[in-house]
Amino acid sequence: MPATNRPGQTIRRLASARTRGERIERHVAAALAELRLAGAVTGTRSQRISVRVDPGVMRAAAARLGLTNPSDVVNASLAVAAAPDRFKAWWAETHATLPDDFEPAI
Amino acid sequence: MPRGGAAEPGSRRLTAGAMALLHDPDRHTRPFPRRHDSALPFDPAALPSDLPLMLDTTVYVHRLQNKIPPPIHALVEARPILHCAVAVAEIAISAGIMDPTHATTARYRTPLLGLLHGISALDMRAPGPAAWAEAGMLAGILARTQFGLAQSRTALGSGAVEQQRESRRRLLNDALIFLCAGEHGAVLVSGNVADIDVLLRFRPDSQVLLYRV
Repeated sequence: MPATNRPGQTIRRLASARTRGERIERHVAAALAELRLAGAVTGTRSQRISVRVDPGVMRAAAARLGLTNPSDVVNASLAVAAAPDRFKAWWAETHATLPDDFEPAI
Repeated sequence: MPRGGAAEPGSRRLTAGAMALLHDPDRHTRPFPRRHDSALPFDPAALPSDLPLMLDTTVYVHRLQNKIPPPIHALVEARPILHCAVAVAEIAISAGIMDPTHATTARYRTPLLGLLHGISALDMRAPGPAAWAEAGMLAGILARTQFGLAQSRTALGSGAVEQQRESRRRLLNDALIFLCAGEHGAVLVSGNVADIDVLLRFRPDSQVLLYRV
């Protein structure tokens, strides 16, 4: 694999998980978009790492993501793990407050 | 409509009637008594550990009013969260309805828009057709038996007719959010104890976590 292989270049979706796969694919794409906004994405896969993983967890991640290439599985998993969760951030940190007399319109 | 609320004999086709008649309106003529809190799901520790949460509209509003009890706050931080499109709509209409020229609009609208910007579309879920049909039936039964919202137009003034209709819509939305959580395998978190109590009578297997502020 070239050292500058672009993310997602070899991503293949499993045909049997089409609808769920599309949702996951959008999830990964959204995670990458968030990371791009945060300036974390370099656009290359230039860092080589050697790690040992639990093969069961690796299989589960591959099945959930609908990916077969281990490099794609690791890259997609890292993107999802690293992307900021906007709602959790809002939940934890918002200082905006609604007055006590607020009632939803319906 | 088949009499007695039964599905059409011999028919195995899934119809809107079959979806709605999961709950036979003829069998429900009296209100359910309200249950004590000890009989309702208030314990976060009793929840299955592997399910995401879906938040009722009350949760978002109470968070913005800093009224969420600490155990609920911690649970939302720890679990995957799904957002029901119905609850999002209730927040959005509340933001949209405010008069832009009114002096207090920004004070109310800004927090609501901040919340909506924090919700990823990927985490939103909508009720499916079956949930709509079932929710309609549930809301109708509850409007009549539980909340006295089946008064005839002639018995009510025009303002009261509109108020009754609005209350029915609120019930419909509550039922939609309740069923949507089940459809998507999520635990519904809600501070709307009175309405969820009666909805649980119809779907006692639903995963729900209640709280009081």
